[in-house]
Amino acid sequence: MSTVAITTTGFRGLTPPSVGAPRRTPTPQADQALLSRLCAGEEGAFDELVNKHHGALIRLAMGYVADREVAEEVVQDTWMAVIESLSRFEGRSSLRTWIFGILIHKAKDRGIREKRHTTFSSFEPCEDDNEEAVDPSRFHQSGESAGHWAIPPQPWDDQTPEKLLASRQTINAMNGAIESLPRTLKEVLILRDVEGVDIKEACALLNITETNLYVRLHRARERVRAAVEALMGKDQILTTSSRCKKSSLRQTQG
Amino acid sequence: MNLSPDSVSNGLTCRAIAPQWSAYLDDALPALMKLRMACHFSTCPDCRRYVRQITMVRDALHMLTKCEPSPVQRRFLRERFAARHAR
Repeated sequence: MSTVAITTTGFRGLTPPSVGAPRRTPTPQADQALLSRLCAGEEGAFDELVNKHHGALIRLAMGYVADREVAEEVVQDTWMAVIESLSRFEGRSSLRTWIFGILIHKAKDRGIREKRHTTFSSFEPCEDDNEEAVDPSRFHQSGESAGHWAIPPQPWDDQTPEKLLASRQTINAMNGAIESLPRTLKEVLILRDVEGVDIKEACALLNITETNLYVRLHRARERVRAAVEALMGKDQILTTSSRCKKSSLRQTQG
Repeated sequence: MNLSPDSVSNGLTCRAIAPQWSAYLDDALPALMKLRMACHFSTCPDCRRYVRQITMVRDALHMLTKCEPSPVQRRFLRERFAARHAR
């Protein structure tokens, strides 16, 4: 049996390879520099801001309203509010958090108005609080191995993020999984993983606890992972079946 | 002091810790839980694969192409921004 030595820094050599998400929160200095350019009326700075956040704002808005067209309107209203109140921005949060806060407020308002005309369930997938992040049927239910993987993750981890995104099918699968997330999972995933918002900032924006945020974040990531796994599994079946076909063809020809 | 990873992660199942890997990756768990999960990680190849895949999804999500405003929208916003500053 292997043994490990406990040191003051933990277990040597046993730490998972990628602890700690890459930090993407803009520094206060970068924020301040951009803000100064915006306050000076520099159009290039405004373009930069729009390019950086427009996509995430649309995705986030779509969690609250029924369709893309309405989400576009909400985002446009958000940008108008940003333009109008930029001079009053006090820097108590990052510029990004402030913009996302405006969006969430506007999208909620719009969503409530829409729901007066549409039933909620017609466009909002429900999130079940008791639902497990990973499908329970993938684990042994009883016996010595109860609670351990019965159907372990299918192997596709020889990929890299870049290789994954080189395939149009994978991008579509990931986008599809994000779009079908319930709002509460979608907003966490977009803020944290797509935008790289700091955990504390995300909790403040969504008014949830850190524990709650991680529950939602992991559920959301798992759904995207499962979508990629389903696609990769299908690819593997296709590859295997085309290999079988080729081999039987060779045998026939031989 | 020498301990086997099995003895430290004793009682943890893959199912019980699966929802906690995102908090683990952000270093947001209490020290003891983190240590127990690290030990489980070292002895469970399936969980290692699972964590690698979750990490890859996390990193790929940040690299997804973001949709941009249409040229018409962009021009409209730019004009409004310029008009606000001309006031």
